[in-house]
Amino acid sequence: MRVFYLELKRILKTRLTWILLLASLAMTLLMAWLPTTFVEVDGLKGLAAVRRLKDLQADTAGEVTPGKLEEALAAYQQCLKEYGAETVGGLPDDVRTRRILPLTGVLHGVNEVYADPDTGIGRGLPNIDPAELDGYYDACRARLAALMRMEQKDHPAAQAEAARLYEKVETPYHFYPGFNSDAMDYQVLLGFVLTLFAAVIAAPVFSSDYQTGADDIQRCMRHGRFTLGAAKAGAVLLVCGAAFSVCMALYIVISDSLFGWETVKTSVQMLYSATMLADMTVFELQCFMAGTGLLSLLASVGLTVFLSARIRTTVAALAAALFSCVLPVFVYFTAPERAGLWLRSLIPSSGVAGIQAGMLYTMLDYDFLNVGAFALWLPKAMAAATALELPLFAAAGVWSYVRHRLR
Amino acid sequence: MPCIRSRSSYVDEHEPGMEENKKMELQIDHISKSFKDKRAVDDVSMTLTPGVWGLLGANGAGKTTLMRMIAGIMEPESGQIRYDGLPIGTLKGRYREIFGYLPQEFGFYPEFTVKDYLEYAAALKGLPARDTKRRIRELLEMLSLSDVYRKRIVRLSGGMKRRVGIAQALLNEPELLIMDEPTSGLDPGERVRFRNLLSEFAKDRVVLISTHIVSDVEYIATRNAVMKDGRLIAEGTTEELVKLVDGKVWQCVIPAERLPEYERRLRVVNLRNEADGRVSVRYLAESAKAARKLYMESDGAEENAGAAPVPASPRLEDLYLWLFPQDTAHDAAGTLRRPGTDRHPAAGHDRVSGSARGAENGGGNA
Repeated sequence: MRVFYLELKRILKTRLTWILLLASLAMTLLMAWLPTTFVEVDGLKGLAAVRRLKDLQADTAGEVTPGKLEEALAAYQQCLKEYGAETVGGLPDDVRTRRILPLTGVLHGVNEVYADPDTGIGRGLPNIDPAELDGYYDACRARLAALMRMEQKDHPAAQAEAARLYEKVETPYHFYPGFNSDAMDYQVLLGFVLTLFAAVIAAPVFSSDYQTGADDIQRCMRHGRFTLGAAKAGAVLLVCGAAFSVCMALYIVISDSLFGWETVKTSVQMLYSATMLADMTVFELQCFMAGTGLLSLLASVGLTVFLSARIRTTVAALAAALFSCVLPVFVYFTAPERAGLWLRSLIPSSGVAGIQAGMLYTMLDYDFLNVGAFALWLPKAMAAATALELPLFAAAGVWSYVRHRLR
Repeated sequence: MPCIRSRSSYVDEHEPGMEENKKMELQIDHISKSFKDKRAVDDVSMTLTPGVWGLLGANGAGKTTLMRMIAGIMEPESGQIRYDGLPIGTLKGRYREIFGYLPQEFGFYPEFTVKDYLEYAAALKGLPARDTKRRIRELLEMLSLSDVYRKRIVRLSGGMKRRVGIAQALLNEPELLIMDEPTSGLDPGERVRFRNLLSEFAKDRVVLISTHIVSDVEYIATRNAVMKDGRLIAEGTTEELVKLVDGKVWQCVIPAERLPEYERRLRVVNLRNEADGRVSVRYLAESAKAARKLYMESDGAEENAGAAPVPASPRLEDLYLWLFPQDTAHDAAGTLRRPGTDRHPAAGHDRVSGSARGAENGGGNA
């Protein structure tokens, strides 16, 4: 324990660690605030626009019942009819703001749910009969089934698994206006930046000792092998994990305070796809992203610790660690689909690797790992893999350090 | 030197082996190690017993490789190292508990102060927290580091850094202390203090110091081992070893103008300017005939030939230079130590031989 404490103290005394921890804090504050600046409503920007949007959509807040949807769509179509417009683009700006904008939040998923089941092309809100919305949640299930038939044509197990997951989603959905999905994207980006910082902190943990020769001395000391190796791995995991947890918690608190704590009670289906498979509110999604992000970051640090124990120079260890962090992005864009999915589920940093290759967009998707009659939703596979990889890589790192010999 | 606890307490009483056969004997048994095409250590065998052991050899002789294998950070290709009869690989933590090591390159964390580093090392060595401060204070005083206790190591001079390295090696009062070039970077006063410290420390411990600064071990080494090209070529007490060059060390006083010829044709160990424009030369020669050859080639007049060569009593440095002639022949850049250049009080300036220019060590033996 004393060795662990001293190692922790050593890492925290390193100038680079302090610079990166302060940078993490600054990035957190900046990235939590930035999404509010993207909101524009009725000539207003920033937090004033958020408040205006909340006011405009206040009447639609709460449970998204079929009746409420029916009423909203009827009002939407009535407005177009009154002004002889085929689309909202044909409406005067003030009319669009006063009469259409209050309805768009609650009608978020309607066009998607009533899309053509074969082509997936939406019919457009003016062309959907409000009476059809009476069976909105049945239509959601039907839409998901049609989507899965397209996405997982040869995998009935995946189709069944998707239906099973969606059955757990609480309906009717809830909608509370004001939250912006950019805030979720920025949370993901923050996780990625923190993972890169963690790689920089963790990469020298063993390799710098090899490079400077400090290892030669420490290795000859009573606790200089397993105890020191475990203390080093544990300390760097603790520092990086604690920094990530603090920054993520701070991000969520700031972001939700700016947008309003009631807004994050919104069902994720009212922010993203109406048939999204996760049974969560926005707040739960934020926490889930933070939790899986933490797991992914720790697994990435575990991998970095392992690389550091295997590589003899700090620069090479750092390069390898940073490459491992961005690897999921390369895999996402370059690997063949099936192999890409397996690789993404196995790479520790997949959970935090940017926007498209990361956990959030994987949750919005309908990708499954299919093995015969068994299908596993990719986000679950990624989370499970990182939970296994964390102790595996950390232990492999310590083992490699203990076994390290000059040849 | 004050002790924190008896050395026996470093060994787990429940683990048999070392404590039962307590002899403090490190047996190096037919150790070999190669790197690519170079045989770094070639079938070395020796048994280290309590006392100071000097490991002499030129650069690349295999000293560091041998020490790393003794430290357990490098695996021998063949052979075995045993401590009190047990292979060090099987003793693991119990071996490291009684072991102190200072490598040639002293690596440390740049953010550490002397205090941070010694506390960190003490924890790794398993010193109880309550004894750590006292032990560190003792070592700081002993090694004149008290004034820089809170300074970052990276800001210290080379000699001070070396002393911090020595301090960490001594922290746990090791039974077996291995130091690779411990005096490099120390000034003459520090080297003398270090030698005295080590002499006292080694009374009932095994201490192995590698060096090519012969004077560092000449006065304190119980025994010496000499390595060349990876092989152990000589082993014995200083007195036993210097007998190997008995009759091969000569000295004479010559006119200064004859010096270049002496330097070209003989292995000059040391030069000293005399007050009358002459030079006292100490050199190595295989036989009396070879030693007198240059003198005999002159016309015999005292003012031209100088005084006739006479045998000098050999020293460990003479043996070293006899065994490693390249150290006298290729030292012009000053990167290797000089064989010995003295300053005569009356001469008022240094006379540096062309073959041994610019080094600072090893003087005083003309």
